[in-house]
Amino acid sequence: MDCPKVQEWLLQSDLSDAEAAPAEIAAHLAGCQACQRFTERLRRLETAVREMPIPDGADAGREAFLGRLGRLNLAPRSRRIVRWRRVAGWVAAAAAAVLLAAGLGLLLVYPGGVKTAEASEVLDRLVDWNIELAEARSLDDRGRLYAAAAEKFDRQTRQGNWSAEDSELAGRLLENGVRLVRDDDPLAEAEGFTDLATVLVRHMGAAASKHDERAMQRLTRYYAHVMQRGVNAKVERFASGGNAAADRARKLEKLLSRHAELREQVKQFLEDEPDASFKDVRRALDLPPPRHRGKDK
Amino acid sequence: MSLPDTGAENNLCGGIPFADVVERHWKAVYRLVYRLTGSAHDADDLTQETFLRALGRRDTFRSGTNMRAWLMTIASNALFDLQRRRKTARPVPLDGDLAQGDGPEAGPAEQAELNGLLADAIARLPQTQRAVFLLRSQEGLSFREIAGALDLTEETARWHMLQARRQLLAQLDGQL
Repeated sequence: MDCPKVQEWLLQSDLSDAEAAPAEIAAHLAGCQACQRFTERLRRLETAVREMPIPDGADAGREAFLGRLGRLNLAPRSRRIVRWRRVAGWVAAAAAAVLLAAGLGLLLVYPGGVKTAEASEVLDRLVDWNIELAEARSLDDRGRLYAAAAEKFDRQTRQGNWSAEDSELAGRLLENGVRLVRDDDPLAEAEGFTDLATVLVRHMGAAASKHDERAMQRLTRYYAHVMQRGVNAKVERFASGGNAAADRARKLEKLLSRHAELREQVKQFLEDEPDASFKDVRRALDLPPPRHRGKDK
Repeated sequence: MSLPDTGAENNLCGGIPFADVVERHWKAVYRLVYRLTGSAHDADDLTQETFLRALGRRDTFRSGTNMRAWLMTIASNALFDLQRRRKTARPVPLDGDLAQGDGPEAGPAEQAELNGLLADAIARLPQTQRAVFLLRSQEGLSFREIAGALDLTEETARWHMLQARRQLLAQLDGQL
């Protein structure tokens, strides 16, 4: 074992004490001062790298981010578990008290009935807000729109006793808002809106299986909005930008494939729904009327 | 600094409050992307982007694995995405501003000079070599973790490390 071979081994080793050198190399190192000096140079190089300073702005950036994190509270994922527990516990405790008023009587059948209406209003505005952000002329404008409303939305989503699905959707809409503020690449935006559309379609599936027509109407309306003014608008903008790099073109293809799948799922959900309820949505999505009914009036 | 009380479980990542994840790893991520981009502005943006992405996909983190390595992977991808959007690799600063312009005083003059030379030498490495070198030397990731972060094989990661160290030692001959 000669010095060049040993030094080549050292150059690609991690130099940690834990890494056991092969016996031949260890034996050579034990007796070779040149290679010992070489090892020492490598260690000094690593020490020097670790001691290099970085700009002061790192700390300020972290504090700003933590402040923002606190305001945004972008984590309804596990919050919905708390909400379900609260709702379930509340329903059980309120079983004896609900007979006191007609409004409470509604809650026997739809425990989240009154609260769902409030959630839908906020979600309506959150969807519109996402579109507004996406259609703003510049990232600065988006930043201003975001700053004006994010905290309020965040507070509203936290204060309501919402269903798991509404909580999740609100969280995703807030998260997409953050993405839109940070990046105006149309392909990335289309991806973000496609993610939203995917969540909406999943919720539609749940609503359809429960025959919850009101939820279906709301969700399909959001879906149409997100697809038309979020996804399609950004895809068009991306496509009009000229020749895209191969990896971005592949990404677009995958997105379009996802859209086709989502469209099929939505079409399936709407198959058995009264056409009058979803006429506008069908028109917006360019879907045919259901097979078992005549043309829309 | 703690998050508002929205329920302790709300912002967990691998069982750790996300604010704590930020506190523990922010500087390391910043350091990496700063060395990779040469720009404090880009480093700030990329670090924020990294933690936003990490927040959005915190349920993909597997408890028991190396969280820093996970964050470094996200940071690397964020950088690659930024470069793709810009379509050009960030040019190596020619006047040494990577070494001198942004940072605070490094202490004695000799140390400052070494820092300058080292920063310049690192900036001149090809990007993948630079990333491998920094992830290993600066952040202490294993070659296996580096391979995962940069979508390489471990053998390739070690090869890049060999090239990077060889070049740096050659450029810093007499300084170390």
